[in-house]
Amino acid sequence: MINLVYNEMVKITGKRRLVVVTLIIAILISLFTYAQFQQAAENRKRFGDVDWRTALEQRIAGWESRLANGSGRGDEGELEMRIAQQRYYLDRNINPSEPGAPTFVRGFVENGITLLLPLMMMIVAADLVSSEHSSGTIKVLLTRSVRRWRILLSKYLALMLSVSIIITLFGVLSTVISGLVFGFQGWDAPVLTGFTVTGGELDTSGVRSLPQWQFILMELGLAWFVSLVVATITFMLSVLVRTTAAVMGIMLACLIAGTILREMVESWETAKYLFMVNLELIDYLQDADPPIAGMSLGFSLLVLLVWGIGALIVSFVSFTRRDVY
Amino acid sequence: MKGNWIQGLMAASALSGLIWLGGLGWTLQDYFAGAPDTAGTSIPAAAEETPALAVDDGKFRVVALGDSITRGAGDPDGKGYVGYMVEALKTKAKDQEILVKNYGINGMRTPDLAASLTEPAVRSELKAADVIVVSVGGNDLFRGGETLGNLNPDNIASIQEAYLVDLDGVLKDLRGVNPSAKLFLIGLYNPFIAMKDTKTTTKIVRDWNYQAAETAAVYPDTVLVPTLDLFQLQVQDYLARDQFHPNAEGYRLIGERVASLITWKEESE
Repeated sequence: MINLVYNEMVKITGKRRLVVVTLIIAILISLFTYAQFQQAAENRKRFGDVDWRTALEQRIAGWESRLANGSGRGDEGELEMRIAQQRYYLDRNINPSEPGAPTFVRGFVENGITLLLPLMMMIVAADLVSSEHSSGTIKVLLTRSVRRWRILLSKYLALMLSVSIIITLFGVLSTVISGLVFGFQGWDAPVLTGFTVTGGELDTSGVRSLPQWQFILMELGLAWFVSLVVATITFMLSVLVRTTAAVMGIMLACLIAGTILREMVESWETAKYLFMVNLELIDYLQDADPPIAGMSLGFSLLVLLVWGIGALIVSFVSFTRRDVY
Repeated sequence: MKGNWIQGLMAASALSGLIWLGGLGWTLQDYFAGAPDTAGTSIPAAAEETPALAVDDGKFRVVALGDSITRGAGDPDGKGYVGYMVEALKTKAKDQEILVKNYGINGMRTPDLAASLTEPAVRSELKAADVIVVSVGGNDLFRGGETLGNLNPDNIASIQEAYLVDLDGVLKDLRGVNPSAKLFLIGLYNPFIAMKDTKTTTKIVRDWNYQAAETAAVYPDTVLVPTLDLFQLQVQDYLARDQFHPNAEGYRLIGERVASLITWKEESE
């Protein structure tokens, strides 16, 4: 089995897929880093003489007085957290609007999880099986004495490995590139999480703060899961559809439809069972409303899991039963 | 050679797969089982709220209530008019100890202020106060600039009516808690005086202040301190970057004006 997976990894690396993905990610990260650097410079120019420390101290004082005279209205816990969070920046002399690499990585994963990362997975997964059809090598592969499901499984395992390494590259590259520009400070900056939505209202009673490195690890874990599911669905399409271009087209349409749907589905409740509406997992950790009422992290994970397993079953059934000619 | 490279890649991939699986597991554990471990720390803060203030200890107590003007938004030093007022008072009476409690909250409107007065901690401070300064109404009137889009008299009148009722409630409450303290209500200035519709907006603010003064006149030792005139001619010199709050100079003007109204005869009795 290991040898079969190894064989598939040779094919993936031979097609330079991972190199392409790495290059795309590296270029994009450099672009965004530069954009953020420009913005920081612009902010400095515009608000240059306003000392951020006093602004921060004032904000903290505002929250403290709100706490003191009890107009927090049940948000006391959250206010205390926010005060502690801002104090962290004060104590370590970090300007919160010019943070270091960890904050950049956090924001980048957050934004990349819905479209950028799934697209990268698509590049690797789209022609995994269909290219064997188009180049005719599928016959060579299937005439071996190896059972068909083992061949497909080895391809899938190779895909899993690729997904994992891409997530790692994503994390490492964004840390290194942005760190060179912004510095590497702020790994243990507190991040607020634990918001829940009850009855349409944001419930802040369970709010707690995590060190940033842990939050990033959690984010990447979620990104890994999302990427794996998207890769699995692409994998299924690659089995079903014989031309790589069609696989790419269908997946692209789904993913882009997902980003549009998330904006407009509020009234269409059953849309929450579509996988592409459920990609924004990281939002659940933060204070954002779910796109449709009744969606939660558990729900979205379950929907994605069902789609992933379904796609896997369809791929295996179709691949083992189909006539190849 | 190439084979080794790919084997290394596979090992690294498998390892990172495990790490991210761990990250996912951690997320689930934190999201579903993560008990707010801060609940324990917030309890003692609530327990210590039984302050019994000695009223006659010779200290001069100032309690400031209200919105961002009281908080000092726009002042780079964060003092606000309360800070400058106290500075001015300290130069007037050097050996007098002055205690300041600032309960200003950015964005506070009159109903919020009324609600905050029910807090026991605030009430006990108020009871002991020699001077109470209140700035409220700016957010009721301008609503973060929203009102500028609808300056018709009916709209303004309905806002004003609601404000006066709320203000009356606040003043009654304050007077009930502390009948003897000097109460200064800071009037509104017109931050939009350099923009279009100056005539209309200034008239609205002037009328607003007049009605507020009428409401305050019912209560003893209650003074509406005008600020409209301070900002009338050189508004750009006294406004912060947001073109709404005063800057340090603007706050100094307000603070000194209030300080000039505070006398010390009562203290020396």
